[in-house]
Amino acid sequence: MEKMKEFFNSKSYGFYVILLTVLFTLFTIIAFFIGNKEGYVSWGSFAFMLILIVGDILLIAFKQDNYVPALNFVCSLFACGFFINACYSYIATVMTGIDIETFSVGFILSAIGNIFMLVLSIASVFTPLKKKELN
Amino acid sequence: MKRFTIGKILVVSTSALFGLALLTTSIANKNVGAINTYMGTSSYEQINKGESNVDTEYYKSNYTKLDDVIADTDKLISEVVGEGAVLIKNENNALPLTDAANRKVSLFGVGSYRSTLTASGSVFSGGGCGREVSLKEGLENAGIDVNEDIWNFYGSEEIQTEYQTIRNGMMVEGPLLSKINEVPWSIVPQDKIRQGDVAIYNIVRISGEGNKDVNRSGTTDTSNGDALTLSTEELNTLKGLKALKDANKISKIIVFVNCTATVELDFLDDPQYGIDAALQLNAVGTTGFNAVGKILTGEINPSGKSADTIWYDNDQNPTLANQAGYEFLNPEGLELHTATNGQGGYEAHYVVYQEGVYLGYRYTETRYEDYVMGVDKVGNYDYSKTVAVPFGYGESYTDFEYSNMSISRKDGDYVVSVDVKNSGDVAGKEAVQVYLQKPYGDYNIQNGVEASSVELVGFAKTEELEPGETYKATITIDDNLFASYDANKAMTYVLTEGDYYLSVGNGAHEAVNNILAAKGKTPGNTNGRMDDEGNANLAKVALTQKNLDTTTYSKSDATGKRITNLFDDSDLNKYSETKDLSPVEYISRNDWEGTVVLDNAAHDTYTKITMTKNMLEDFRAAYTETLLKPDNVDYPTYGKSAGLKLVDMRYDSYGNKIPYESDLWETFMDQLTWDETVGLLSEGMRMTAAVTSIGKNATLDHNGPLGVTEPYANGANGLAKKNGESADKKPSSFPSAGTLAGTMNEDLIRRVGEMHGENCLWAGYSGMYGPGLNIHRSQYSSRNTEYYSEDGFLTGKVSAIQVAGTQSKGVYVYIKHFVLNDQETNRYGLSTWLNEQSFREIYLRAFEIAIKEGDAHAMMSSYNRVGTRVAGGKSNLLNDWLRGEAGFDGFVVTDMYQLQSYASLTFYLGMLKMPSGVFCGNDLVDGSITSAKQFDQYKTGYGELANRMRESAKRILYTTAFSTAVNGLDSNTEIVPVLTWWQKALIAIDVIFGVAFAASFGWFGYEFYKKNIKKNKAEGE
Repeated sequence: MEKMKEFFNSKSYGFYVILLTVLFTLFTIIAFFIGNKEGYVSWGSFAFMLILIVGDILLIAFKQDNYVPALNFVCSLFACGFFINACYSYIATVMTGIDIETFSVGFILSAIGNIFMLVLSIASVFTPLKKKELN
Repeated sequence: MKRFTIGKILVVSTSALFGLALLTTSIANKNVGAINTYMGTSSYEQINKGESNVDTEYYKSNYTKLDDVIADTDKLISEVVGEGAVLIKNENNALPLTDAANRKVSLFGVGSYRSTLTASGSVFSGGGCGREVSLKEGLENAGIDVNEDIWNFYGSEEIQTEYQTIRNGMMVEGPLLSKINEVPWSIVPQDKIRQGDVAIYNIVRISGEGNKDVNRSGTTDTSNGDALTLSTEELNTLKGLKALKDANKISKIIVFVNCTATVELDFLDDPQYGIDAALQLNAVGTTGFNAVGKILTGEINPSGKSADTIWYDNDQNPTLANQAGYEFLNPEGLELHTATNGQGGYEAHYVVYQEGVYLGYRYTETRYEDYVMGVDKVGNYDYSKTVAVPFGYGESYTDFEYSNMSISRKDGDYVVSVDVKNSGDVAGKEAVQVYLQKPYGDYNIQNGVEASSVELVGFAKTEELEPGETYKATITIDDNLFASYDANKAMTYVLTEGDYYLSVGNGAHEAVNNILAAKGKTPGNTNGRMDDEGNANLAKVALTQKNLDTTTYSKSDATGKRITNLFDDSDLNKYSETKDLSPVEYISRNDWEGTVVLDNAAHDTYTKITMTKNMLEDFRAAYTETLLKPDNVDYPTYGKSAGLKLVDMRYDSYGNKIPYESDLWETFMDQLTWDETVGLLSEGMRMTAAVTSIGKNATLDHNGPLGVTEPYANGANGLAKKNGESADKKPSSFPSAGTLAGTMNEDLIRRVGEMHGENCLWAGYSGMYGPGLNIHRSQYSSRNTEYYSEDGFLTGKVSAIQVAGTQSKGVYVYIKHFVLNDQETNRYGLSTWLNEQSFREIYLRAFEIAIKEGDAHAMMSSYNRVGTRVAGGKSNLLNDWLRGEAGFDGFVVTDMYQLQSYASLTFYLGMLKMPSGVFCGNDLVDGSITSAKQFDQYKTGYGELANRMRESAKRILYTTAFSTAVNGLDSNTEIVPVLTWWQKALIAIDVIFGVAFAASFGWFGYEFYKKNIKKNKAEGE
């Protein structure tokens, strides 16, 4: 418990940005499964999200925190790229409004998740991870 | 800012931009065809390598300026409405508005301001062309004075925001007709109505592709939830107008039915609404209201005939009992793929055409005749409470008398001749219609060979006849139409014993009454069951068939092959998994009371079918391509150059068309490689692919049934682009196909076809997706605007003329959707079941006539299943019937086949893998190149498939050889792939951002390295 307290005390707000990134990535994975039946989601996107989460855990566990932002950024960039590649046709279909007129819940959640995941991962590149970095 | 931080910013921003650029390039390269269409670019250049003394503009426009094409198209649209609008009521000569004093009108209804010009989906040209003529403009252009105050009221922002259901006259707004949303009569400023004005009430219902069919229930402001009955406020408006008429504030009430999804007309003759006259307009197209104005003034005498039965009470239509997509009963709890939205039928939904042949007028008129004749089991049948406007009916401002009807034979066909005299006071045209009655005798009853009382078998339009002028109409009737399809005993086309009548009349009902009169029936001797005297002189026995004939019509005219049952697997009473149950009781003339099922409020009178494990396995057999088995058949020759180009395959040196079956075509086809063959079959998303080795350029093939939909200058090879026309010039939209059918004017129909061809030449299309030949099985089908009629013959005949007209301009047309795509609900995979007699005599007949008489050369298969198989994967349909019987020698494309658009389409792709599709006769996919991968595993060991692939490729090449695809080409022309300007721009952007990213990364890496060195040094110290 003390160790954990010490661990979190040494972390700056950048670390919490990373945690948020991981949370939104998890959220996007859940949204992925909700939206999967619409046929627009991408397993490539899912793979990069998984790498992000697993990679973060391993890097933090092995005290290589400095590389986490870079990993997050690269993974979220690829995940978003695969997502857009999978769903642009779906977006065009809804915009045309012939067969469907509204976006599905799964898609909306996935889009929100992807946006937050990417923005937070970019933010984490510029935010300090450890308190002594502020000094 | 520290260098390290700057480095981070640069790396993050350039990597994001580089990633975005690469993604954009990747997506763009998968959609080259679509982007080229939008940008007006082409991925191929035609380079002439030698001198040519041949005029390579094989298909020419009659025009030199696009503006003239547009002007003439707009005039033609107006002409179609002028001749196709149907005068369905005209009491006491309420119309025309003959003098200036009564040419003052007030327009009522939210639909008066925003009217139905067209529909959504593949007929929609995206926002309009800017030349749309509103109802008000159309009337004013004809010299009618329109009340500005009432117009401005309905057009005010407040009213349009609160009450509109149509946007820009075309788009569907929100859920399809879930609310009619008419302006309450109580807020209409009645004090602004001018004394003595004629009141015109425009009733609208919009519909179109893709949306679920029009509501039978769920519409919130009609009394029964049905969108095709007048809403409470619409009825209030009519009552309000009647009250004003009674108070002499307004002089007349005219109603326009401005919708193809036809409202029931129980209100039309109801005295509480006091309607004096009514016009059935359908969707009028871009400039159709110009004609409406002239009809009102009498400058045009209406001569249109209704291409559908318009119901007094929609609930009396038996097809509505089986009109939606129904879920299979599933007592075994089988896991079925089900739809996530209204479009996917997948495995869970089906529909049964329980009405059999008794669709539309074939039902209403046949039951009427049997009722008059006092036949057993006819039940209580009140024609006047069932039908408001009979099929084929239309009034005129003048009268016509028919006389001297005679029938002769010529080359086996029947020739009907009749004098038509204008016995009225004003000039007018008349559409002369010929109806056939086949006998319904013992053989029919015992063997389930149904026969309608009348069927349309011919028509002709007179010239404009002056008062007193007589015209001799001569109409040739194909004798094949006399045969009925016996699916149960003889299993071929037969002539049954009895008298075959031919009759002429103003619509099907009049023709029936003429036949009844010829049989000696009168209102008097039928206790008033017969509702008119009829005219016995206008119905004659054309043939008395003494014995059953199962031979004369048992072979295909096109191919000489024997005709026999092909579609037992699409009739639940014969399909292997359900035949023992005989689950369908088709409507039979032998027992109207026992077999006619009407829809009820709960919509649960539909034919219920149970899904079984074996049936589901049959559904799924298509997914796993069990049709394709390894074999030892030799593959065709590939890549053997013979120096032949596509343009060389048109005519020989004597000017004779090189036959499809010639050895030269085989030598030509040997030139294609395997990859070229696959590419040709895989890339058909609004195009056919280029094959550079044989000098074939990519074509642009696009929508739609009611005219070109893309801006003219978008077509890279179009005349508009070549002439430097502005990208702002957009095409007009033609009126509903039913309006064109209702003109029954062959010359006009042909000119429409030719004008579509002209528009295609200027827009750069080589192929046109349309016309639509599906049947108006129900008035609720939301895509009826694109289709002609409830009648298969009328559909086929009109489309044949139109197709021939368009193809004369070098534009092949994809008649669609083949087949049974007669509703939008659950269209993806909806399992459609019917008996073979109705299949052949109504639904296939439409396509058959278009092929045989119009020489149609391309076709689009449909999303739905026919029985258990999706149409594009059904060999007995595409190979045996289409090519084997109907003699079709063109190619078949799927409906849109784009990966990963959304679940419904993804499921369609699962149902129809392209190799299976090709094997079954579906040649091309309306999708992108990614479907080419499906062929990879068949490169060896599947010779039968490979030969069918070659045949498919040949059909595409043969069709495109006789189209504008070869304009500008000769034997010396090479087709060279090029990068478009936008592809070059994308590559440049990729390179720039790539270099920027590499530089940033390198610089950042150096700064990172320096920082670490510094840090380590500091720690060391």
